[in-house]
Order: sequence, then structure tokens, then C-alpha cells
Amino acid sequence: MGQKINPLGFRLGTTQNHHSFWFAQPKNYSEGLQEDKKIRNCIKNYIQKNRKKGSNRKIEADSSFEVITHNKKMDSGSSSEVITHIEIQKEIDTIHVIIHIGFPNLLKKKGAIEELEKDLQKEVNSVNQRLNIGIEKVKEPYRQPNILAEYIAFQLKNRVSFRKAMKKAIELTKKTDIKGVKVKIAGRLAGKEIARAECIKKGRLPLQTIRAKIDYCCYPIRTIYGVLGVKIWIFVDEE
Amino acid sequence: MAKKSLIQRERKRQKLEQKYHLIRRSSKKKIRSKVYPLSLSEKTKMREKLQSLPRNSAPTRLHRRCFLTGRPRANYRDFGLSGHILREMVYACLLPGATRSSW
Repeated sequence: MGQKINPLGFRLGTTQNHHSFWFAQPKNYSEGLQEDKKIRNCIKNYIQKNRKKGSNRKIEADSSFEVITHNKKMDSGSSSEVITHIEIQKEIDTIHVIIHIGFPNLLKKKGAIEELEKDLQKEVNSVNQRLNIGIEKVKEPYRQPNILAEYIAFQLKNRVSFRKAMKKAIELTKKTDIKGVKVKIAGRLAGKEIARAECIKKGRLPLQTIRAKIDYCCYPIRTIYGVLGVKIWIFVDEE
Repeated sequence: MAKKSLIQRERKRQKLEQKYHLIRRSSKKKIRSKVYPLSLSEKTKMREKLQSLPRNSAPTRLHRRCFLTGRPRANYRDFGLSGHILREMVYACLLPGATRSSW
């Protein structure tokens, strides 16, 4: 029985970049890691809090990207404010935080960045380092595996059948120009007594080729029957 | 995940160690000093002062715990993380400079 290595960790240094980019003395490396973790937690908590606050009014999908409106309530709910990753670069006197987000409607509001910066400054409490927050909108959101995973999670929580949710997710990736995609859900599918894993694959997925750029996400979903795990691999390009 | 009470105890020890760090260091230096040697009664007084500090402020009472989960074993000093959290974070591209060897 073979195990699969994590495609991101396997490609670090070649086609996969680190999400934190800084240098430190070995004595201070641990403090840098703790600081990174605080920054990321603060940003995610801020978005979580404001997502709950903003869910009362209607969330409109980004107009530059067409969302398939098969079911309006589900689609518009699932495409709100998913962070793909947070990039942190540190210099001697500045910390640059770049939030790569799929649909940045929330953070584009007036005063949101300043409020977030204030929260972060309070959290990090470093006197001689400035914070610099930038937002980068992801060019093709449905090419990102954790946006797809959030989409599937939203569908499964609303009792859509899992096979339909998987096929819909793969359909969304067809609009973007990718070479292969694989979606795997494991757990008590459709509330069955015995757990199993289901997998749909389209296109190529060269997991052993280091120069192939593969994006990967592993995402647990809590349902009333237990925890389902979703794994999504996306083969973006070959250098 | 370690018990929250144990994590809080360790945090209290860290705060106390920070608070009494300079007092402990200067008292020890005075006792051991050869440049300005103390008399015997003064040494005894200084040792009594050292012993009256809270016991949790001693640096030997600190124990290294993972800063994410609080696990007391298998911690790496360079990262401050336990082994399997370290592995997860490497695979999530969160540790700068860390790569995986493969040949």
C-alpha cells in the first residue's frame, strides 16, 4: 500500500513558494513562527467575524467572474470571502502581509484595512516594526483548491448529494485553463453506516513529477453524520 | 492537545521568570563576586533574599512546550514545535527555508 506525499511540501523550493519569507537567527526563528501564527489567526478571525455580521444582507458575487447560478442561494453563499493563502514577508523594520483572497468584497469596504491593521498592530505588539497589509485578488478563483473545497463544503452542509457536488466543482474548473483535477471525498457519504471514499478525476495529474505545478488542499467538513474529508488536487501547468 | 491547566501553569512560570530574572542574576553575581567580596553575614543575607523569591521564578523550572498544542515531548528547540505539528506546517509551506529532501 503506497502513501501519497503532500504535493505542496514535495515541491517546496522548486515550483512551490513558501508562504512565509523571512530570515532570522536560529535563536529567534521560533518567535518569528509564533508571530506569523498570530498574524494569520487574527486575519482569519476578523474575516470570520465580519462574514457572520455581513451574512444578513445580500452578498453579491463578483461581477467579473460568472458564477453558475444553478441554485442561487447556495452559489452566492459559497463564493464569499475565502482566503487562499496569506503571504508574510519580513524586513528589518516592516512586516508585509499580502492576503490572497478569491472575492475581496469584504476587505474592499471603507475602513476595513485600517481596522484590520489596528487589530494586527495590537496583536503583534512590536514597537519598531511597521505593518503593511496588501490585498491581492486571485485571478481565477475556481482554480484554487480551497475555494473549491469551501464550495463543496457548503453544498454538503445543505444536503446536496455528494456526487453532484463533486461534479459541479469539476465543472467549475473547466472554465479555467487547467490540465487536470481530482476531487476525493472520504467519510460517511450520504449518511451511510459504513464510511468509504469516492474520487472523481479529470485530465492528467503527474504527482511524482517535481516540475509539474500542482495545487493541493485538504479540508475537513463537519456534518451531522461525522467528519468528511475533502482532498483536491489541481494540475495547473508544467514548467 | 495538552491540558489547559498545564499550559497555563507553564505560562505563569514564564512570566515569573521574566519578572524576577534580573533580581536573581544580580543576587547571584553579588554572592559569587571576587572583585567586591562580601562578608559571611552579608552572603547569608543575600542567600536568604534569593530563597525568598517565588520558586516558580527559577529558570530550571521551565519546561519546553509546543506553542501550538502544548505538547511537552518531542519538541524541537529551533522551531518551538512538536514533531507532528512541525511536519504539518512544513507541508503547508509555513516554515521559511524548510524543504523536503528527495532523490
